[in-house]
Amino acid sequence: MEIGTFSTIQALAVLLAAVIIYYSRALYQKGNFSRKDSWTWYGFSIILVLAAVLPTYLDILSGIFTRRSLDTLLIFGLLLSFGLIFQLYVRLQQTNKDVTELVRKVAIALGQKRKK
Amino acid sequence: MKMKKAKLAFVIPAYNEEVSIGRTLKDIRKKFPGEKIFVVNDGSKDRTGQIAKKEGAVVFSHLINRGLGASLTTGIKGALQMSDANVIITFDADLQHEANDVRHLIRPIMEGKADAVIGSRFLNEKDLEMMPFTKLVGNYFLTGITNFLSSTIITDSQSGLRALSRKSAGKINIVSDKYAVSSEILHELEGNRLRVVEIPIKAIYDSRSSTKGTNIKSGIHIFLTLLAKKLGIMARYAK
Repeated sequence: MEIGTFSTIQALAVLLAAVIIYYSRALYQKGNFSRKDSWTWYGFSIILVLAAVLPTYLDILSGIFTRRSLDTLLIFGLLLSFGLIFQLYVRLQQTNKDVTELVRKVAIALGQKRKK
Repeated sequence: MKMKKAKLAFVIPAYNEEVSIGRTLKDIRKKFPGEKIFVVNDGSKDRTGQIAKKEGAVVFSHLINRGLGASLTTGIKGALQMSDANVIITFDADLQHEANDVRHLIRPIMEGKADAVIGSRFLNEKDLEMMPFTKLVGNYFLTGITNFLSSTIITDSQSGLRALSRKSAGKINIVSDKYAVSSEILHELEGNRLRVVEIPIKAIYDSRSSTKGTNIKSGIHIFLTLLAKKLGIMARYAK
């Protein structure tokens, strides 16, 4: 199915990029995202839009890895997803550790205070 | 050989244990009057903390639930900071253990023959009949994993009743917040070249304690935690 000169998958990619940009900006304004976080996601979104709007540009990359543009996009997407999942995992573990440490410090400090 | 006088600190992790914490503390107080008791109230939604306080225990309250491993670490660190105990006892709050067993548990440490003593539910075959079948199978499996990855020869890696000398309690570095802590403690003791012995203990199971503890998910977590430590991905043997 095509929307104008866009295929559905291209339109969805642009929509996804728009959603990511919107949320990255909102989270940055609320202070939940650092500047680096938001620019990482802006960058990701821009690449997504470029890949969707100008798919022929992927042919440059496809020459390096494979002859088919869509294959290249999928492989890059998968690699990127693995990278992001790993980044998320590392951050989640670190946050968990920090929360436990904080909870522990408060618990011991209050325990000592009550004993006195 | 002359034995040192034992100064004990009991560490009891507790999450929603209002039904049993009072009796657990009374039993310990009766058998070991004057010894320090530290209860870690792990974000309980019930009256666990208030009851423990009323029974005279020092209560470390986690503002949110962080799991068994986090609670034991809080209790051990707090006990080391707030007492001069030479033996730290970890004890479950669900009436599964008998305080009388602690006397046997501390003996090898006080005689200088061990740095840590694990209370094993598997050394007394008669008592094994009381253990629910799923727990029995799970424990064999987890103990197998622990022994394989930690180079230990232990019969009960998931026992909650253990005694640690002050030196060994200060040396172990617990990373896991959840149930993997029991295997992790053994892994750390072995990694620090500390002497570990096992003593048979009695375990009492009621409808509550039978349903608590490790499951398949925590089994996988234990395997991954020990593997990560073994491969050096997680910090080990270091403070």
